[in-house]
Amino acid sequence: MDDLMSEFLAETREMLDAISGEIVAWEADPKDRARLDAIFRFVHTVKGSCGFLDLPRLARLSHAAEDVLAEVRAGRRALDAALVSGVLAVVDRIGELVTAIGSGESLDDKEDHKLVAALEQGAAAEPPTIPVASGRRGAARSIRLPIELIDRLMSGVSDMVLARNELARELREIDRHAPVDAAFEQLSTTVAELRDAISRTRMQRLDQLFAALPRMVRDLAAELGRDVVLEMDGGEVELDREMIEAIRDPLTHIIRNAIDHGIEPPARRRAAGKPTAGTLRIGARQSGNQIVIEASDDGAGIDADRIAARAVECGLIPAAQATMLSAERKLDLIFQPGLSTARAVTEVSGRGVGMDVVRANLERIGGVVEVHSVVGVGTRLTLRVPLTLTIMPALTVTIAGQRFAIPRVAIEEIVRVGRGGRIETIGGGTAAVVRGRRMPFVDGSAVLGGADGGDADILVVLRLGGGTFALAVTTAHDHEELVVKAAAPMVMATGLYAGTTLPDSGRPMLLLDPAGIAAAAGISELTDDALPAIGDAAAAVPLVPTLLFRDLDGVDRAVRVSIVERIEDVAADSVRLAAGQARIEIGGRLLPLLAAAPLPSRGRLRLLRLGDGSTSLAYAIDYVLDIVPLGPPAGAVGEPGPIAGVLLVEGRQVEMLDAHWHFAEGARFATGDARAPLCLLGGPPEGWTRDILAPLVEAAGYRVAFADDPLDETPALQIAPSAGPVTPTAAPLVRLRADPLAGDDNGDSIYRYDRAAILAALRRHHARAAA
Amino acid sequence: MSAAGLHLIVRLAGERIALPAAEIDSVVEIDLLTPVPGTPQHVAGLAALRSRVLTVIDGRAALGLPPGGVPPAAEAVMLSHEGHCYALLVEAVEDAVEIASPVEPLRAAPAAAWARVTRGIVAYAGETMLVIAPGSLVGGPGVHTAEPVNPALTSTA
Repeated sequence: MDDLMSEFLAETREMLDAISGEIVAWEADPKDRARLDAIFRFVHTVKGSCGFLDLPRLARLSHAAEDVLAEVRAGRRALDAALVSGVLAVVDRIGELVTAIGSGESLDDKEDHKLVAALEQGAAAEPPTIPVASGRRGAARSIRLPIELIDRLMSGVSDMVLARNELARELREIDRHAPVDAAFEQLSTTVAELRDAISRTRMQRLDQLFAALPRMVRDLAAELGRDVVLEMDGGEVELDREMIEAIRDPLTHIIRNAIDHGIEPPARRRAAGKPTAGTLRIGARQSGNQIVIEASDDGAGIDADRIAARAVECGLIPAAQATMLSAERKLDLIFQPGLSTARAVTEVSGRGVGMDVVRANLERIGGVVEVHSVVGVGTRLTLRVPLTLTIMPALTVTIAGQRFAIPRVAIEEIVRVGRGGRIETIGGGTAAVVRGRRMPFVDGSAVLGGADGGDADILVVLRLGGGTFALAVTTAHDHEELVVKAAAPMVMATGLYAGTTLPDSGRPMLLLDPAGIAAAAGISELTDDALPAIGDAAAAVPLVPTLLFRDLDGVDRAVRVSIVERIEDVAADSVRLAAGQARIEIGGRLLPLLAAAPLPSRGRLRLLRLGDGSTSLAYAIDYVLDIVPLGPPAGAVGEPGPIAGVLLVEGRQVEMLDAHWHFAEGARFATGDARAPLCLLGGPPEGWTRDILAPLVEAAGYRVAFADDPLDETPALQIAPSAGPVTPTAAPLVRLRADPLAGDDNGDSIYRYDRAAILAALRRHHARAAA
Repeated sequence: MSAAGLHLIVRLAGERIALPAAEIDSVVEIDLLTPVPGTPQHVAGLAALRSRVLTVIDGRAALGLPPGGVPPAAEAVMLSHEGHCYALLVEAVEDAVEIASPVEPLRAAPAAAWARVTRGIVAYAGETMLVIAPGSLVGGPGVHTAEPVNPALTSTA
């Protein structure tokens, strides 16, 4: 609403400026119909906007002027000097009011009434007082700028950053004086701040995108006969204007799919025991230099097996391969182009319409899209896009003696031939086998025209569409954040490059476009990469689907998918601390909550629910990065601790969580300290007992068992309602009564809200049990 | 007929030619080229000028002649064309001069290499020179720019 208001104010000011000439001209010649029309249009526009923005005073003024001018236009009322003055006074008053709103002042409305009355009587009661320029000054707290100007500023600042880098390089080579260094530092800081500020001018809130969604969802739901509740979150997140435009279509498409194929018709939802209305959640948040947008629904979910079967039918993958795919990879097939044309798949299994386009659109802007779905429970699509188009994380490599940059988002991993990867020739074609996966092989030096291939024995595994290919390079260097610019048309026309950049070395570098490289190498279709290599079984390292995530302490860690039961989002304030340990209630169960860093106390918390088959625990993370098949960690440590070892993923080190250690820790948490006495809570194990009493008892240092838990030790204490059955046990019994006055607190029962008495009893029995 | 105005006289493919000063930015020295594999022959590579990346055009190759190569500290004419910065490699940059005589249409057809890029001729210091539109060299021999480079030729053809 604030945005709309400032937009309105700016627009009205602009219109006022624009018609000021007309006003003067009209005053000189009131018969001039064109001028009259221009002023009529102005008051009409203002009236329309005011009604919408709930500005009754402006609405009244503009309405009065519009009425009078309409009469004049219709020839029902003669134009006289009084009327002209009256209208002009109203126009000026509108200007004053707009200024006042903009600067947050208030203006007496007596004047308004006088002006309106004068218009209606057809005679200005007195010559209108026109306080020229009294309030207009200093009110414009926002101005409107052409986007090109902002773009020019942005590119100017980018140039400045590069010039600063060059200066830094030059300075390193000469004898320096402290004052020069200090001045240069100052310059660096200023340039950095300037860049941030200018970048922000290109930012827009996602609200811009979200604003249209409720209407779209409502219309779609009505059209398709669904009941949909839309929840949106994160509209305040800011994103580069171009990025917002670039994700508009993909997001629209995803929402359309969610309603069309995800959320079931009300009758089917009822039959499945779900609420009639489906929930569609659109959430956005910033995570590092990425924006994560999630669209989740509680609909039918996507049946991964059906998708795979359909992919086989469509000839996208061989049947033998389909059976070997993990559930994640099967789901991933919805992004395959061939599947999208198959209408039938949308009817039997959910999604698949145009998702290839969604992925392609996102990849074009350096983004990724992932799908996660549970049949019957729902589907979540995660879009990850960079904050801006101009600065891109990239890996630099050498191919045939020349350095190139590769967008990091496209890189899956980097292996050396002979260590994790090899190249094989079958029937004249060449393929790369990376950790047991076969994929198309591209010799970088052949594509990029280098004279000698040299010993290009580094394979950069690049993601493209749903598949991967291996690009052979001579050396892999650094990860860098590069300022990327569009290259000249004849450079772009090669299709091989995504742009140019000027790194600190001062030599221009080309940013490779993985799709273009693949196309130039004649790879038309990328087969899924999970195909085991022939004869590779012996050498193959067992690959296990592994979930990569950014941990709360900012470190990238990994955990095997097999022990991840699910990924949950909970409110941070639902974490409970009892006896010094964090726990969280999920689905009625209280799980131990482990984390690598202090938990945020506000906002949402993302959890991995890990299960070992019998017990579960929650592990708090920042966000999920990816799921990739990975071998065992290198450098496994024997020492007990949270980390089992280190994996190399895309050239980065990722720590593998030690699942054994965490479950041991969780078990210790779940049961508390093994020496903590057990308190049996009688009565129905829900509601008051579980939610109100149990935390108190746990906080007092007890472990808690409920009436229906199997007991394999004698509790130190049993607490039960004053009325109702108790569990037969040797433990002393404390009864709690609901009526404060019905008994004696020192006797056989305690009032259940007499905290002090309950704690005293707990302490007494705790001491006795420990003795 | 008005004066042709300020021109930069350079030597390219053995010819002295005049480039309208209004259409060029400056004269730069090029070293450390980054080759751009896959581009047409007339794209010699990329070079950095301060914080800018220039696309370096081999002037000879742009005329459809064998590329002239890039000698160390090669002289080049920098220009902006359709939003991008280019450096046009020439054999030598001679002088920037004010030409008082007008640009005249070229009555005789020049060699095929020059026809596409010639705007006219101009007389200076007793010599007649081709006036070349530098932007038209950027596209190379295979690409025709929208700019009418030689109205005289097209109208008489």
